[in-house]
Amino acid sequence: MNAPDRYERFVVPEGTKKVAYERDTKIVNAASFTIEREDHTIGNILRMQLHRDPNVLFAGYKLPHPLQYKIIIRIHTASQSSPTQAYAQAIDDLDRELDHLKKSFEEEKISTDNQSLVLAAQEIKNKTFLRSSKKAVPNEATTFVLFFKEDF
Amino acid sequence: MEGVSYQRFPKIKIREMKDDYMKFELRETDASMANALRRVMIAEVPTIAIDLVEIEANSSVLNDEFIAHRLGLIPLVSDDAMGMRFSRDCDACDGDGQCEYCSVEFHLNVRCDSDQTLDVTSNDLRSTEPRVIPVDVAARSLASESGGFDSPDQRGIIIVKLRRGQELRLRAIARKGIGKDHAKWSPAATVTFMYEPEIHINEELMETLTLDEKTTWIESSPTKVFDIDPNTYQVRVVDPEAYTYDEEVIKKAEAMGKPGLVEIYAKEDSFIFTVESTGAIKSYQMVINAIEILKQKLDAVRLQDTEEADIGELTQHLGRGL
Repeated sequence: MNAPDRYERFVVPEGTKKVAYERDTKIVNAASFTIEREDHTIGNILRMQLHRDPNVLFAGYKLPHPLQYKIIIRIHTASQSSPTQAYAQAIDDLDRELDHLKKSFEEEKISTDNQSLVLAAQEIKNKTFLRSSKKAVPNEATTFVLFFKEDF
Repeated sequence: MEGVSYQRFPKIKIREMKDDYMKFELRETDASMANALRRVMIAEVPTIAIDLVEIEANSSVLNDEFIAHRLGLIPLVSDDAMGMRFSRDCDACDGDGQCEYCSVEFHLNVRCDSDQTLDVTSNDLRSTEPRVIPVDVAARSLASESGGFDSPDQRGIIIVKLRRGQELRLRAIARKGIGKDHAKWSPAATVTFMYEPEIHINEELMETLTLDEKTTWIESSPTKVFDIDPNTYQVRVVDPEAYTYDEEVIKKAEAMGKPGLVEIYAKEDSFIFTVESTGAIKSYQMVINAIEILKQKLDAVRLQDTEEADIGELTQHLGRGL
Protein backbone atom coordinates (compact mmCIF):
# COMPACT_ATOMS: atom_id res chain seq x y z
CA MET A 1 0.00 0.00 0.00
CA ASN A 2 2.59 2.56 1.04
CA ALA A 3 5.51 0.79 -0.58
CA PRO A 4 7.83 3.18 -2.40
CA ASP A 5 7.83 2.95 -6.20
CA ARG A 6 10.34 0.45 -7.53
CA TYR A 7 11.78 2.91 -9.99
CA GLU A 8 13.03 5.03 -7.09
CA ARG A 9 16.00 2.70 -7.03
CA PHE A 10 17.36 3.87 -10.36
CA VAL A 11 15.66 7.08 -11.49
CA VAL A 12 17.34 10.24 -10.26
CA PRO A 13 14.62 12.47 -8.75
CA GLU A 14 14.01 15.82 -10.42
CA GLY A 15 16.05 18.67 -9.03
CA THR A 16 18.79 16.36 -7.78
CA LYS A 17 22.22 16.21 -9.36
CA LYS A 18 23.56 12.84 -10.47
CA VAL A 19 27.00 13.70 -9.11
CA ALA A 20 27.61 16.21 -6.34
CA TYR A 21 31.13 17.30 -5.53
CA GLU A 22 32.05 18.43 -2.06
CA ARG A 23 35.53 19.57 -1.11
CA ASP A 24 36.95 18.75 2.28
CA THR A 25 37.32 21.94 4.30
CA LYS A 26 40.13 20.69 6.51
CA ILE A 27 42.42 18.79 4.14
CA VAL A 28 43.85 20.04 0.83
CA ASN A 29 43.18 17.87 -2.20
CA ALA A 30 40.53 15.81 -0.50
CA ALA A 31 36.93 15.62 -1.63
CA SER A 32 33.78 13.52 -1.63
CA PHE A 33 31.63 12.74 -4.63
CA THR A 34 28.04 11.81 -3.90
CA ILE A 35 26.61 9.80 -6.76
CA GLU A 36 22.86 9.39 -6.83
CA ARG A 37 21.20 6.09 -7.79
CA GLU A 38 24.39 4.08 -8.15
CA ASP A 39 25.72 1.12 -6.18
CA HIS A 40 28.67 -1.26 -5.85
CA THR A 41 28.81 -1.77 -9.62
CA ILE A 42 30.12 1.75 -10.21
CA GLY A 43 31.56 2.36 -6.74
CA ASN A 44 33.90 -0.60 -6.73
CA ILE A 45 35.29 -0.24 -10.27
CA LEU A 46 35.94 3.46 -9.70
CA ARG A 47 37.66 2.79 -6.38
CA MET A 48 39.90 0.08 -7.87
CA GLN A 49 40.76 2.26 -10.87
CA LEU A 50 41.61 5.19 -8.56
CA HIS A 51 43.98 2.91 -6.66
CA ARG A 52 45.97 2.46 -9.87
CA ASP A 53 46.71 6.20 -9.96
CA PRO A 54 49.93 6.91 -8.00
CA ASN A 55 48.75 10.47 -7.27
CA VAL A 56 45.80 9.13 -5.32
CA LEU A 57 46.70 8.83 -1.63
CA PHE A 58 43.29 7.54 -0.61
CA ALA A 59 40.22 6.37 -2.47
CA GLY A 60 37.23 4.64 -0.98
CA TYR A 61 33.51 4.36 -1.45
CA LYS A 62 30.55 3.60 0.74
CA LEU A 63 26.91 2.79 0.35
CA PRO A 64 25.63 4.63 3.45
CA HIS A 65 22.36 2.69 3.71
CA PRO A 66 20.77 0.01 1.54
CA LEU A 67 17.58 2.05 1.24
CA GLN A 68 19.35 5.30 0.34
CA TYR A 69 20.16 4.75 -3.29
CA LYS A 70 23.44 6.63 -3.42
CA ILE A 71 27.14 6.08 -2.95
CA ILE A 72 29.86 8.37 -1.63
CA ILE A 73 33.32 8.21 -3.13
CA ARG A 74 36.09 9.88 -1.17
CA ILE A 75 39.35 10.80 -2.86
CA HIS A 76 42.52 12.25 -1.39
CA THR A 77 45.34 13.06 -3.81
CA ALA A 78 48.91 14.31 -3.77
CA SER A 79 49.46 18.02 -4.46
CA GLN A 80 50.30 17.62 -8.18
CA SER A 81 46.81 16.27 -8.80
CA SER A 82 43.31 17.00 -7.59
CA PRO A 83 40.33 14.81 -6.69
CA THR A 84 38.35 16.04 -9.70
CA GLN A 85 41.27 15.31 -12.01
CA ALA A 86 41.80 11.82 -10.58
CA TYR A 87 38.07 11.13 -10.76
CA ALA A 88 37.82 12.20 -14.40
CA GLN A 89 40.96 10.23 -15.26
CA ALA A 90 39.60 7.07 -13.65
CA ILE A 91 36.35 7.31 -15.63
CA ASP A 92 38.25 7.91 -18.88
CA ASP A 93 40.52 4.93 -18.27
CA LEU A 94 37.61 2.62 -17.44
CA ASP A 95 35.75 3.83 -20.48
CA ARG A 96 38.69 2.99 -22.72
CA GLU A 97 39.15 -0.37 -21.01
CA LEU A 98 35.54 -1.22 -21.83
CA ASP A 99 36.00 -0.07 -25.43
CA HIS A 100 38.96 -2.39 -25.72
CA LEU A 101 37.00 -5.22 -24.08
CA LYS A 102 34.12 -4.83 -26.50
CA LYS A 103 36.42 -4.78 -29.50
CA SER A 104 38.37 -7.87 -28.46
CA PHE A 105 35.12 -9.65 -27.62
CA GLU A 106 33.76 -9.01 -31.10
CA GLU A 107 37.00 -10.14 -32.73
CA GLU A 108 37.06 -13.27 -30.59
CA LYS A 109 33.47 -14.05 -31.57
CA ILE A 110 34.31 -13.87 -35.28
CA SER A 111 37.25 -16.23 -34.90
CA THR A 112 35.18 -18.66 -32.78
CA ASP A 113 32.40 -18.62 -35.38
CA ASN A 114 34.88 -19.34 -38.18
CA GLN A 115 36.46 -22.14 -36.21
CA SER A 116 33.16 -23.91 -35.56
CA LEU A 117 32.22 -23.50 -39.24
CA VAL A 118 35.46 -25.14 -40.36
CA LEU A 119 34.93 -27.95 -37.86
CA ALA A 120 31.38 -28.54 -39.09
CA ALA A 121 32.54 -28.64 -42.71
CA GLN A 122 35.31 -31.05 -41.77
CA GLU A 123 32.86 -33.36 -40.07
CA ILE A 124 30.51 -33.51 -43.03
CA LYS A 125 33.45 -34.15 -45.32
CA ASN A 126 34.73 -37.01 -43.18
CA LYS A 127 31.31 -38.63 -42.95
CA THR A 128 30.66 -38.52 -46.67
CA PHE A 129 34.15 -39.76 -47.43
CA LEU A 130 33.48 -42.88 -45.38
CA ARG A 131 30.13 -43.40 -46.96
CA SER A 132 31.19 -42.78 -50.56
CA SER A 133 34.20 -45.07 -50.20
CA LYS A 134 31.82 -47.95 -49.49
CA LYS A 135 29.45 -47.17 -52.29
CA ALA A 136 31.03 -45.33 -55.17
CA VAL A 137 27.69 -43.72 -55.95
CA PRO A 138 27.37 -40.05 -55.13
CA ASN A 139 24.49 -39.69 -52.72
CA GLU A 140 22.55 -36.75 -51.44
CA ALA A 141 25.12 -35.94 -48.76
CA THR A 142 28.06 -35.68 -51.15
CA THR A 143 26.26 -33.36 -53.48
CA PHE A 144 25.41 -31.24 -50.50
CA VAL A 145 29.05 -31.07 -49.46
CA LEU A 146 30.21 -30.12 -52.93
CA PHE A 147 27.72 -27.34 -52.98
CA PHE A 148 28.70 -26.33 -49.48
CA LYS A 149 32.41 -26.23 -50.26
CA GLU A 150 31.91 -23.93 -53.22
CA ASP A 151 29.77 -21.75 -51.11
CA PHE A 152 32.32 -21.73 -48.35
CA MET B 1 44.76 16.00 -19.08
CA GLU B 2 48.49 15.42 -19.01
CA GLY B 3 48.39 12.35 -21.20
CA VAL B 4 48.97 9.77 -18.49
CA SER B 5 46.77 6.74 -18.45
CA TYR B 6 46.40 3.83 -16.09
CA GLN B 7 44.28 1.89 -18.51
CA ARG B 8 44.33 -1.89 -18.75
CA PHE B 9 43.97 -4.04 -21.85
CA PRO B 10 41.98 -7.11 -20.85
CA LYS B 11 42.07 -10.28 -22.94
CA ILE B 12 39.14 -12.49 -23.86
CA LYS B 13 38.99 -16.11 -24.92
CA ILE B 14 35.67 -17.73 -25.77
CA ARG B 15 35.63 -21.41 -24.90
CA GLU B 16 32.08 -22.33 -25.75
CA MET B 17 29.28 -20.37 -27.27
CA LYS B 18 25.65 -21.33 -27.80
CA ASP B 19 22.56 -19.16 -28.03
CA ASP B 20 21.70 -19.58 -24.38
CA TYR B 21 25.03 -20.60 -22.86
CA MET B 22 28.54 -19.28 -22.98
CA LYS B 23 31.84 -19.86 -21.25
CA PHE B 24 34.75 -17.48 -21.61
CA GLU B 25 38.01 -16.41 -20.01
CA LEU B 26 38.64 -12.83 -18.98
CA ARG B 27 42.26 -11.96 -18.23
CA GLU B 28 44.45 -9.03 -17.27
CA THR B 29 41.85 -7.08 -15.36
CA ASP B 30 40.69 -7.21 -11.75
CA ALA B 31 37.78 -8.63 -9.78
CA SER B 32 35.99 -5.26 -9.65
CA MET B 33 35.60 -5.29 -13.45
CA ALA B 34 34.54 -8.94 -13.55
CA ASN B 35 31.99 -8.34 -10.81
CA ALA B 36 30.67 -5.16 -12.41
CA LEU B 37 30.04 -7.09 -15.62
CA ARG B 38 28.30 -9.86 -13.73
CA ARG B 39 26.11 -7.42 -11.80
CA VAL B 40 25.17 -5.49 -14.93
CA MET B 41 24.25 -8.67 -16.84
CA ILE B 42 21.94 -9.79 -14.03
CA ALA B 43 20.30 -6.53 -13.08
CA GLU B 44 20.77 -3.89 -15.76
CA VAL B 45 20.69 -5.35 -19.26
CA PRO B 46 17.19 -4.50 -20.53
CA THR B 47 14.68 -6.99 -21.91
CA ILE B 48 10.99 -6.89 -22.76
CA ALA B 49 8.37 -8.47 -20.51
CA ILE B 50 4.63 -8.20 -20.00
CA ASP B 51 3.98 -5.46 -17.45
CA LEU B 52 0.38 -4.34 -17.77
CA VAL B 53 -2.53 -6.76 -18.04
CA GLU B 54 -6.13 -5.81 -18.65
CA ILE B 55 -8.37 -8.77 -17.98
CA GLU B 56 -11.62 -8.74 -19.94
CA ALA B 57 -12.93 -12.10 -18.85
CA ASN B 58 -11.47 -14.67 -16.51
CA SER B 59 -13.53 -17.60 -15.35
CA SER B 60 -10.50 -19.84 -14.81
CA VAL B 61 -9.49 -21.22 -11.43
CA LEU B 62 -6.63 -18.74 -11.08
CA ASN B 63 -7.32 -15.18 -9.99
CA ASP B 64 -6.53 -12.17 -12.19
CA GLU B 65 -3.30 -11.08 -10.46
CA PHE B 66 -2.02 -14.63 -10.40
CA ILE B 67 -2.39 -14.83 -14.19
CA ALA B 68 -0.90 -11.37 -14.67
CA HIS B 69 2.15 -12.44 -12.68
CA ARG B 70 2.53 -15.63 -14.72
CA LEU B 71 2.32 -13.66 -17.95
CA GLY B 72 5.04 -11.31 -16.73
CA LEU B 73 7.45 -14.20 -16.20
CA ILE B 74 7.23 -15.49 -19.80
CA PRO B 75 10.51 -14.60 -21.54
CA LEU B 76 10.00 -12.64 -24.75
CA VAL B 77 12.50 -12.25 -27.62
CA SER B 78 14.24 -8.99 -26.67
CA ASP B 79 16.76 -8.39 -29.45
CA ASP B 80 15.24 -4.95 -29.96
CA ALA B 81 15.25 -3.98 -26.28
CA MET B 82 18.47 -1.93 -26.44
CA GLY B 83 16.91 0.34 -29.08
CA MET B 84 13.58 0.70 -27.34
CA ARG B 85 12.56 3.42 -24.92
CA PHE B 86 11.59 2.98 -21.29
CA SER B 87 7.94 3.94 -21.13
CA ARG B 88 8.70 6.37 -18.30
CA ASP B 89 10.93 8.46 -20.60
CA CYS B 90 8.87 8.00 -23.74
CA ASP B 91 7.81 11.34 -25.26
CA ALA B 92 5.57 9.78 -27.91
CA CYS B 93 2.98 8.55 -25.44
CA ASP B 94 1.59 9.43 -22.04
CA GLY B 95 2.65 6.20 -20.43
CA ASP B 96 -0.46 4.16 -21.16
CA GLY B 97 1.82 1.91 -23.16
CA GLN B 98 0.13 2.17 -26.54
CA CYS B 99 3.04 3.36 -28.61
CA GLU B 100 5.47 1.63 -30.92
CA TYR B 101 8.59 3.10 -29.28
CA CYS B 102 8.08 1.74 -25.82
CA SER B 103 5.53 -1.07 -25.82
CA VAL B 104 4.19 -4.15 -27.54
CA GLU B 105 0.60 -5.27 -27.20
CA PHE B 106 -0.52 -8.88 -26.75
CA HIS B 107 -3.95 -10.43 -26.92
CA LEU B 108 -5.13 -13.69 -25.50
CA ASN B 109 -8.53 -15.14 -26.17
CA VAL B 110 -9.17 -18.75 -25.24
CA ARG B 111 -12.31 -20.64 -24.37
CA CYS B 112 -12.72 -24.29 -23.56
CA ASP B 113 -15.68 -26.00 -25.22
CA SER B 114 -14.70 -29.64 -24.90
CA ASP B 115 -14.79 -32.11 -22.06
CA GLN B 116 -11.05 -32.33 -22.01
CA THR B 117 -9.03 -29.80 -20.02
CA LEU B 118 -7.55 -27.14 -22.26
CA ASP B 119 -4.03 -25.81 -21.64
CA VAL B 120 -3.61 -22.09 -22.21
CA THR B 121 0.04 -21.64 -23.18
CA SER B 122 2.46 -19.04 -24.48
CA ASN B 123 1.40 -20.25 -27.95
CA ASP B 124 -1.97 -18.60 -27.49
CA LEU B 125 -0.49 -15.13 -27.01
CA ARG B 126 -1.03 -13.02 -30.12
CA SER B 127 1.59 -10.32 -30.52
CA THR B 128 1.10 -7.11 -32.49
CA GLU B 129 4.85 -7.02 -33.23
CA PRO B 130 6.20 -10.17 -34.95
CA ARG B 131 9.72 -9.55 -33.61
CA VAL B 132 8.53 -9.69 -30.02
CA ILE B 133 7.09 -13.12 -29.30
CA PRO B 134 7.56 -15.66 -26.50
CA VAL B 135 11.04 -17.22 -26.68
CA ASP B 136 9.81 -20.82 -26.84
CA VAL B 137 7.41 -20.00 -29.70
CA ALA B 138 10.24 -18.39 -31.67
CA ALA B 139 12.52 -21.38 -31.06
CA ARG B 140 9.87 -23.83 -32.24
CA SER B 141 9.06 -21.97 -35.44
CA LEU B 142 12.80 -21.82 -36.19
CA ALA B 143 13.13 -25.57 -35.58
CA SER B 144 10.20 -26.45 -37.83
CA GLU B 145 11.50 -24.17 -40.60
CA SER B 146 14.83 -25.95 -40.71
CA GLY B 147 13.06 -29.30 -40.71
CA GLY B 148 13.85 -30.06 -37.09
CA PHE B 149 11.89 -32.47 -34.95
CA ASP B 150 8.58 -31.29 -33.65
CA SER B 151 8.45 -33.14 -30.39
CA PRO B 152 4.99 -33.39 -28.83
CA ASP B 153 6.11 -32.31 -25.35
CA GLN B 154 7.03 -28.86 -26.70
CA ARG B 155 3.66 -27.32 -26.05
CA GLY B 156 4.73 -23.93 -24.80
CA ILE B 157 4.68 -22.43 -21.34
CA ILE B 158 1.43 -23.24 -19.55
CA ILE B 159 -0.34 -20.18 -18.22
CA VAL B 160 -3.52 -21.78 -16.88
CA LYS B 161 -5.75 -24.82 -17.53
CA LEU B 162 -9.42 -24.45 -18.44
CA ARG B 163 -12.34 -26.89 -18.10
CA ARG B 164 -15.56 -26.84 -20.12
CA GLY B 165 -17.20 -23.45 -20.18
CA GLN B 166 -14.27 -21.51 -18.72
CA GLU B 167 -12.61 -18.75 -20.67
CA LEU B 168 -9.75 -16.29 -20.51
CA ARG B 169 -9.72 -13.05 -22.47
CA LEU B 170 -7.18 -10.34 -21.90
CA ARG B 171 -5.01 -7.58 -23.31
CA ALA B 172 -1.40 -7.33 -22.14
CA ILE B 173 1.25 -4.70 -22.68
CA ALA B 174 4.89 -5.64 -22.70
CA ARG B 175 7.48 -3.01 -21.86
CA LYS B 176 11.20 -2.61 -21.70
CA GLY B 177 12.65 -2.91 -18.21
CA ILE B 178 15.65 -4.00 -16.16
CA GLY B 179 16.21 -6.73 -13.59
CA LYS B 180 16.71 -4.15 -10.86
CA ASP B 181 13.06 -3.16 -11.24
CA HIS B 182 11.68 -6.71 -11.32
CA ALA B 183 13.46 -10.03 -11.87
CA LYS B 184 11.16 -10.82 -14.81
CA TRP B 185 13.22 -8.36 -16.85
CA SER B 186 16.52 -10.06 -16.12
CA PRO B 187 17.98 -11.78 -19.21
CA ALA B 188 20.26 -13.90 -17.03
CA ALA B 189 19.48 -17.37 -15.77
CA THR B 190 22.92 -17.50 -14.14
CA VAL B 191 26.06 -15.47 -14.48
CA THR B 192 29.04 -16.63 -12.45
CA PHE B 193 32.77 -16.22 -12.53
CA MET B 194 35.59 -18.01 -10.76
CA TYR B 195 39.26 -17.26 -10.27
CA GLU B 196 41.46 -19.51 -12.36
CA PRO B 197 43.38 -21.79 -9.97
CA GLU B 198 47.10 -22.37 -10.23
CA ILE B 199 48.11 -25.78 -8.81
CA HIS B 200 51.69 -26.70 -7.97
CA ILE B 201 52.48 -30.22 -6.83
CA ASN B 202 55.67 -30.68 -4.82
CA GLU B 203 56.96 -33.62 -6.90
CA GLU B 204 59.80 -34.43 -4.54
CA LEU B 205 57.50 -34.73 -1.55
CA MET B 206 54.90 -36.56 -3.64
CA GLU B 207 57.41 -39.28 -4.47
CA THR B 208 57.76 -40.08 -0.75
CA LEU B 209 54.15 -41.31 -0.84
CA THR B 210 53.18 -44.90 -1.59
CA LEU B 211 50.69 -45.59 -4.34
CA ASP B 212 47.96 -46.24 -1.76
CA GLU B 213 48.71 -42.97 0.00
CA LYS B 214 48.58 -41.14 -3.30
CA THR B 215 45.19 -42.67 -4.08
CA THR B 216 43.71 -41.77 -0.70
CA TRP B 217 45.09 -38.25 -1.05
CA ILE B 218 43.55 -37.88 -4.52
CA GLU B 219 40.25 -39.21 -3.25
CA SER B 220 40.16 -36.64 -0.45
CA SER B 221 39.25 -34.03 -3.04
CA PRO B 222 35.45 -33.80 -3.44
CA THR B 223 35.88 -32.96 -7.13
CA LYS B 224 38.12 -34.77 -9.58
CA VAL B 225 41.14 -32.47 -9.80
CA PHE B 226 43.98 -35.03 -9.70
CA ASP B 227 44.57 -38.54 -10.94
CA ILE B 228 47.38 -41.06 -11.31
CA ASP B 229 49.29 -41.56 -14.53
CA PRO B 230 48.78 -45.26 -15.36
CA ASN B 231 52.33 -45.59 -16.73
CA THR B 232 54.52 -43.63 -14.36
CA TYR B 233 52.25 -43.78 -11.25
CA GLN B 234 52.79 -40.06 -10.80
CA VAL B 235 50.09 -37.76 -9.51
CA ARG B 236 49.01 -35.29 -12.15
CA VAL B 237 46.50 -32.47 -12.39
CA VAL B 238 43.70 -33.46 -14.74
CA ASP B 239 41.26 -30.61 -14.31
CA PRO B 240 42.45 -27.58 -12.33
CA GLU B 241 39.10 -25.84 -12.82
CA ALA B 242 37.25 -28.61 -11.02
CA TYR B 243 38.90 -27.29 -7.84
CA THR B 244 36.34 -25.50 -5.70
CA TYR B 245 38.77 -23.83 -3.26
CA ASP B 246 37.60 -26.25 -0.57
CA GLU B 247 41.22 -26.86 0.63
CA GLU B 248 40.40 -30.49 1.37
CA VAL B 249 43.58 -31.75 -0.35
CA ILE B 250 45.69 -29.29 1.64
CA LYS B 251 44.12 -30.42 4.93
CA LYS B 252 44.56 -34.05 3.90
CA ALA B 253 48.24 -33.50 3.12
CA GLU B 254 48.70 -31.93 6.56
CA ALA B 255 46.85 -34.80 8.22
CA MET B 256 49.15 -37.25 6.42
CA GLY B 257 52.12 -35.36 7.83
CA LYS B 258 53.13 -33.92 4.46
CA PRO B 259 52.43 -30.19 4.65
CA GLY B 260 53.29 -28.34 1.45
CA LEU B 261 52.52 -31.34 -0.74
CA VAL B 262 50.48 -29.09 -2.95
CA GLU B 263 50.19 -25.33 -3.29
CA ILE B 264 47.11 -23.77 -4.82
CA TYR B 265 46.72 -20.10 -5.66
CA ALA B 266 43.87 -18.17 -7.20
CA LYS B 267 45.14 -16.06 -10.13
CA GLU B 268 43.85 -12.66 -9.18
CA ASP B 269 43.64 -11.29 -12.71
CA SER B 270 42.15 -14.27 -14.49
CA PHE B 271 38.46 -15.19 -14.48
CA ILE B 272 36.35 -17.91 -15.99
CA PHE B 273 32.83 -16.74 -16.73
CA THR B 274 29.75 -18.88 -17.22
CA VAL B 275 26.78 -17.04 -18.71
CA GLU B 276 23.35 -18.63 -19.10
CA SER B 277 20.54 -16.73 -20.70
CA THR B 278 16.77 -17.12 -20.32
CA GLY B 279 16.60 -16.95 -24.11
CA ALA B 280 15.36 -13.36 -24.20
CA ILE B 281 18.79 -12.25 -25.44
CA LYS B 282 21.53 -14.47 -26.88
CA SER B 283 24.32 -15.08 -24.38
CA TYR B 284 26.91 -13.34 -26.54
CA GLN B 285 24.69 -10.30 -27.02
CA MET B 286 24.10 -10.22 -23.26
CA VAL B 287 27.80 -9.70 -22.60
CA ILE B 288 28.12 -7.07 -25.34
CA ASN B 289 25.06 -5.24 -24.00
CA ALA B 290 26.47 -5.39 -20.47
CA ILE B 291 29.68 -3.72 -21.63
CA GLU B 292 27.64 -1.06 -23.44
CA ILE B 293 25.43 -0.42 -20.39
CA LEU B 294 28.43 -0.16 -18.10
CA LYS B 295 29.93 2.42 -20.46
CA GLN B 296 26.71 4.41 -20.40
CA LYS B 297 26.66 4.27 -16.61
CA LEU B 298 30.22 5.57 -16.43
CA ASP B 299 29.39 8.40 -18.82
CA ALA B 300 26.47 9.35 -16.61
CA VAL B 301 28.65 9.73 -13.52
CA ARG B 302 31.09 12.13 -15.18
CA LEU B 303 31.38 15.39 -13.25
CA GLN B 304 29.40 17.88 -15.34
CA ASP B 305 30.52 21.22 -13.93
CA THR B 306 34.24 20.52 -13.98
CA GLU B 307 35.23 24.18 -14.33
CA GLU B 308 33.28 25.20 -11.28
CA ALA B 309 34.88 22.47 -9.22
CA ASP B 310 38.39 23.25 -10.49
CA ILE B 311 37.96 26.93 -9.71
CA GLY B 312 36.90 25.96 -6.23
CA GLU B 313 40.08 23.95 -5.83
CA LEU B 314 42.18 26.75 -7.29
CA THR B 315 40.80 29.45 -5.00
CA GLN B 316 41.46 27.21 -2.07
CA HIS B 317 45.08 26.84 -3.13
CA LEU B 318 45.39 30.59 -3.63
CA GLY B 319 43.78 31.20 -0.27
CA ARG B 320 46.39 29.00 1.35
CA GLY B 321 49.20 30.68 -0.55
CA LEU B 322 48.25 34.16 0.48
